[in-house]
Amino acid sequence: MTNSINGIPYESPRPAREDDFELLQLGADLKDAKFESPPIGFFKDATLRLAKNKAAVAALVIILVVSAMAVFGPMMTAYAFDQQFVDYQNMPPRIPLLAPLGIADGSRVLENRRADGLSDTEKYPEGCILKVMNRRTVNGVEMVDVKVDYYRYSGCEENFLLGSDYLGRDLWTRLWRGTRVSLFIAVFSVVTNVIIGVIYGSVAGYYGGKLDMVLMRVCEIIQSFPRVVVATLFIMFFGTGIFSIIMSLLISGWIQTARLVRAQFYRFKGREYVLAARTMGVRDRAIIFRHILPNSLGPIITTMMIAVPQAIFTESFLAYIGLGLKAPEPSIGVLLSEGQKVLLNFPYQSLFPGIVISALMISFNLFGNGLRDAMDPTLRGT
Amino acid sequence: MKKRLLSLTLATVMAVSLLAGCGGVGTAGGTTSQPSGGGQSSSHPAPSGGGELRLVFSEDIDTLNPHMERSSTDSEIILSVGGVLYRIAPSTNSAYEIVPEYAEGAPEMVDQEGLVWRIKVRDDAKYADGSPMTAGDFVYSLKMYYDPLLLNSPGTTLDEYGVYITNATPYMIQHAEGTEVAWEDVGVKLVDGNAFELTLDKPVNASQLELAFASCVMVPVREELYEAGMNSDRNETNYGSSWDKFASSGPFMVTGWTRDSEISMERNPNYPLQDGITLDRIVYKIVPESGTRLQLFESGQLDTVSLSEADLERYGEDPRILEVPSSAATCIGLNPINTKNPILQNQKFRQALFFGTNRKEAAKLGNSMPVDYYITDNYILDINTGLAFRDSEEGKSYVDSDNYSYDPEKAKELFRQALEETGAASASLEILYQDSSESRKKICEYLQSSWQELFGRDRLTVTLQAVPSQQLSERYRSHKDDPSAFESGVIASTYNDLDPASALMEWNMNATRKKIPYYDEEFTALYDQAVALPLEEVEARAGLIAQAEAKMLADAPFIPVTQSVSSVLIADRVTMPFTTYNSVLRYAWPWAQVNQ
Repeated sequence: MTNSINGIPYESPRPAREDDFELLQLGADLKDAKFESPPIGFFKDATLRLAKNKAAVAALVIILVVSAMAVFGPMMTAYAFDQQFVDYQNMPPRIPLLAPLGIADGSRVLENRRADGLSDTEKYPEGCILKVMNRRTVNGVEMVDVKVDYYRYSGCEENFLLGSDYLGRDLWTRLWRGTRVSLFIAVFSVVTNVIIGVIYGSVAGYYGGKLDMVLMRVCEIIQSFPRVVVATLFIMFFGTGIFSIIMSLLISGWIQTARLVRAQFYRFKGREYVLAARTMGVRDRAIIFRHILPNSLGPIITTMMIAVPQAIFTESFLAYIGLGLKAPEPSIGVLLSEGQKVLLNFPYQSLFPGIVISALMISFNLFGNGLRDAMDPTLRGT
Repeated sequence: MKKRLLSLTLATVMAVSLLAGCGGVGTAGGTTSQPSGGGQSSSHPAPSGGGELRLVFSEDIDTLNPHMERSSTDSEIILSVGGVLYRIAPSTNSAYEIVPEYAEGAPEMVDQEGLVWRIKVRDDAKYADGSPMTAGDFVYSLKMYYDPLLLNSPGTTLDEYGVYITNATPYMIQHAEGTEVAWEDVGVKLVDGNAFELTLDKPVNASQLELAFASCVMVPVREELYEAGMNSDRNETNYGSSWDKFASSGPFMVTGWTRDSEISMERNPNYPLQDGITLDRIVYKIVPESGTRLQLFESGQLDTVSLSEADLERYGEDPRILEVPSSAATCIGLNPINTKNPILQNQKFRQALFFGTNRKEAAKLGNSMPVDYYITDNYILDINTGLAFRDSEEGKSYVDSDNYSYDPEKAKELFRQALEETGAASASLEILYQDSSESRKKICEYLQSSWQELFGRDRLTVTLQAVPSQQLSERYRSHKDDPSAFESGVIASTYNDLDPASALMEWNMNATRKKIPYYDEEFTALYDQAVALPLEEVEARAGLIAQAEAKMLADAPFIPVTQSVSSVLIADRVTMPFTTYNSVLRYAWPWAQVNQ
């Protein structure tokens, strides 16, 4: 029988017969290799890829070290974070291991001292003067700058590794205690924000429609509140303290997570497996939390990691502008705020908290970026 | 080409500015090598008279209108360019005198009870522009001062000094009270012979009246200018809002005021008391930033600058530093009527805190001195000799100059008894402090730690709360409506250094601006007796003031802790009239001298 398409004739194929095909593989030597390792799941693959990212691993190590110091650091000295030594205010750092190198050796330059008072051993105990500099005359009085061993000068037998503050409190203890408080505030607020954001975003994204529209407008209204104003209002009503800081971080902090989760739900809720589950009568709650949400975990974890340094920064910023914790509780922001007031005279009081907050911020950001790359499905296998 | 030329010019300008800036800074370091001599040193060259004094404020004044002054900077300027009936003036070093400035002499008692007084104004009194000043100007000023529509609220009032003009307050608040009081019913009357009479509700003596007029900013306003600046509702005037809307009559006359930049004044040729004034001109610069102020001083553009504690660290033992103790004792005020924390009502609890305060240690936290009393040694008992109340026998009798009343064992026993009496197992205390004050924060943190350590952390919990100063004042004053508005807080009040009784003013039962709700009849009776005595009766006054203060200290509605000391750098070309600070005169700059 002859057929034609567009006027071109062709013959109909003859029906296939059993001997038309031969099962070659039965005796053939196939070149496909067998899987040598068991199949890798999403999170395991992400972990492997994260391990290859050196910057992220280094960041993780720093985070773990700082977190460990936040837990154990205050126990490493004999001082409590609020223990005062009124006679030993603003002592410079003294680290015995570094002292021979001239670093953190407990010395300090006292400016504008009367030259005729240098021989007064009550004022300058024997052996405390290391160097006399910059001789000059002011109003007929000979003045000098004196470099002294400040521990000997003050008669201090304590040893403050990172120095002491305006009440003679050990800055090592306060730094790690402050780091603990800052990390607690950051982690607590971020976890709470994620829980609120996930529930809010899931409901908005899954049900959509008018409910979504209303929920998202509420988000926009809340997001328009200036954070400093919110913090100030909380402090006015509840006073300064951890509660007010956390509440000011919670007011609008969950919105980013809610938006992200909502977008993920819009992406996945029309997929076949969701439709299949729904057709089979699975309840909404199970669809949301068992079928759709696990697909969003990657972005959520990444967002969390990036939100932690943001929360630390916000806490520090609020403390820096005086909306911080109740004295004598330290945080990194409180220490920075106190340190900047004496920055010119005692720069070490800002330096060490500055180093810790910088290390934490950079590390959390690098680790967050590493996680984002590791959990990005489009980069899987690269 | 044009662009290149512009860039080159800009670069040159920037380089020159940078070099100029470096020059300034370089000088800053270099000026430490000053020629010998100085404001406070013995080798200071004799001032040649004349010249310009260059001072600085961190913020601009609000007004030159004496009825609206609110701050010590306002009053410093207004009292430099505005005349008063009686003026506190420097006499010899660390002593003062009250001199009649525009008054012809001391006030004359018209009746026998001290209720009606006549004050005559100098016949030759003139404003700086040469126009005559009469008793009518003072009467008009008082009328406007108490005007019911303007409702002025100046920083200091005659009432606070015990001068209650008949019907003045009812006249002022008549609209709020819904009453009608005519100005004619107020105890201020113009009388013949360029004089006016005051009728008072409570008797006063002449020196008390002089002191009140010298301490308040009772500068006459010029009627034409005042009325010209009045709005149609007569509830606002722009008098004193700029330098040309003010009639000068003080030792200096204002010649310029550029907001947030500079206030300048020149010597007033018509000022009646020219003796002792040598300066030609005073310029106040407004420089908010402390580092900039210090640089301006070091580059010779300012004659004085105050030092922060951090600056003081750097200036160490610089001979140009002048240490100036504050008039106010820094105290922890306790609310003895708090119902939510009833242990505060227990006198033994408050006394336990009093004896449990290690003031010597607290004083190490900043530039301050320990005090276990309220009236500091700035308060002068005898104006003529300069004798401070604290140096009098009566003033010294109940002061522990060795330990400043620190007795830990007594404190612990009192604390134990307080807990027993109230039936409480432990006590708590919240201390409020001004969030902008580092020194107060330090004191609070120290007391928190030391009190908890002394009485036991399980038996006393002290919490600290930083609050903005405005909110703090409101919390203190709201005790009238809510007795539990606060538990305790830092207080430090300054009154008239020339009257130690004035320091107790806030604590008497009839005080209108009370922070701490202390109402004690015995104390009030002693205070009333003390203020009723003439300033000349030194011993009798000292005895009454001492009894009143001792009574108050025993009741312990507050815990005195320290007296702060400010540090000021004075240029070596300046000779100050005296090296102390007075709450009214401040540094008495109009009487300073500069060596040109």
